[in-house]
Amino acid sequence: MSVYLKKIKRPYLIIALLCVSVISYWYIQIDHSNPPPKKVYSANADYPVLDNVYQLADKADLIVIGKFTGDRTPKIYTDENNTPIIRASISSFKINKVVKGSINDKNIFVIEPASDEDDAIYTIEGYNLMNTSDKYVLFLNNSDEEGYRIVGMYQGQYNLSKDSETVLFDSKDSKDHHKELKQQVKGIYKD
Amino acid sequence: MKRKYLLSTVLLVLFFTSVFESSAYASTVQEVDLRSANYPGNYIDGMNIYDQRVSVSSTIGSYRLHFARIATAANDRVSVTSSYSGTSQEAGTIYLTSSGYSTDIWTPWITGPAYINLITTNDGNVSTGFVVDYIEYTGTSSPLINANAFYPNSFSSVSNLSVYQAPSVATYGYSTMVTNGLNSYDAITNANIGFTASTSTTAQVRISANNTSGLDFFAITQPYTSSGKAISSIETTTWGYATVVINNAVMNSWGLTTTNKQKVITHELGHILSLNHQTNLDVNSIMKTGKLTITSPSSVDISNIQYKW
Repeated sequence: MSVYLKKIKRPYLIIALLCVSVISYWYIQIDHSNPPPKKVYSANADYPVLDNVYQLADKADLIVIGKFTGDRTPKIYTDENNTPIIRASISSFKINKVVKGSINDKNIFVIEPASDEDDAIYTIEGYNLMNTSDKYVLFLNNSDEEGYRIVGMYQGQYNLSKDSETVLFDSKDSKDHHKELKQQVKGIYKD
Repeated sequence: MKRKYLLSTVLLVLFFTSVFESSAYASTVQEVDLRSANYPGNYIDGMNIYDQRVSVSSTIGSYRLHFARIATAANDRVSVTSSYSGTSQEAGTIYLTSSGYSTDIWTPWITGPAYINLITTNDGNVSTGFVVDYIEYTGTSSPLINANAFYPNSFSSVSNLSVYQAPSVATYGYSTMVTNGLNSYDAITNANIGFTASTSTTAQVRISANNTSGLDFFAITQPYTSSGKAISSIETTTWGYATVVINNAVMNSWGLTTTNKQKVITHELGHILSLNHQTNLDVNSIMKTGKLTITSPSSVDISNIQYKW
């Protein structure tokens, strides 16, 4: 009996060792520090086009410089049939400097026209969500909703910490337009 | 006798010169809307960034800009230059400089890029600035055409698309504009396009309106697979259905007129047919973004639609 058991155990042991080796090899090959990028869905819109930083400044009720705190919740707009039609986010923003307008609270909420979800990033016209590392200047309008509206969507948010950044535009013209506006913005707005 | 011949020769020279100049400047005039910010209100004194960059197709030979009006206060001026400086604004060749009050002004013919600058001094004197209402150009405009004018994804057929309009479309006053927009595409000859009104919320095209004051867009279109998964602009996936959302609050906040709003609606319906944006200033197309007065598909749009459908 003990001999029979010894004979059965060895093959199972070998199979088990092989399985562990394969799984370990596969796990080591995955770069866990850089997971594959999420798919980006960019909805197309007709939207106001701002030609220069003065138009942005003129249109904005509030211009602030500061940082995204990391507190972000999805905001899903639905139609009358409760079908989701737009995916956005309500993001908390800590103000370091008020350039235009007046506000008492240093922490405000802004509605970003994008949403980072488990399966993908949903954005309108390539708007890129703020990160917690960088400083931003925001051109904002008052809205009837839970946060401020960003003027012209991607045209009203600029990363002051980086000259180049990841962009989600699927159009070269939107990318060039944002870049040109950013040059003007960075020339004027500094913390 | 000699005097007669001399006179005839001069007249002939003048005639052929005018013909030559006409043909050299055989041109197209296109409506545009470039204005200093806040026009017709006053600009703010002392700001250094009032500039408009003129972006045109690379296939254009030369162009000139028509100012409907220039109005500057003392010591301020408008200039048109070939390049731009972040400190002094004006740079390169100065094509035009104007101050005071003028109407109906054409720049000289320009080749290459141009910037329209409003130079102000911080002396407390202001006026209304400028508005450019036309561009005239030689050569050919370069719109996106044929396959390049479309997304790589679409409905498999648009010969009989079912269209559902949520009650909000009528509530916010857009029913007629939607009908106008659909009819303008339906009327295109040599294109198999048709729409059927549907009361089903699962129609292929689902249009609704709202007052989304939190997001700065006029209207938005999003296609989905039949299983409800969003389709990105670069995928080659067949559409199951598409949603169109009309943002009444933002259109009103930007002062869009009925004409502008019609443009927006017809533009979005162009996306339903898979048309992508047209971006060059010289292109006449319903698929340009922004607050414009074109309300129906242009010849470029019609040609593209006939190509695909």
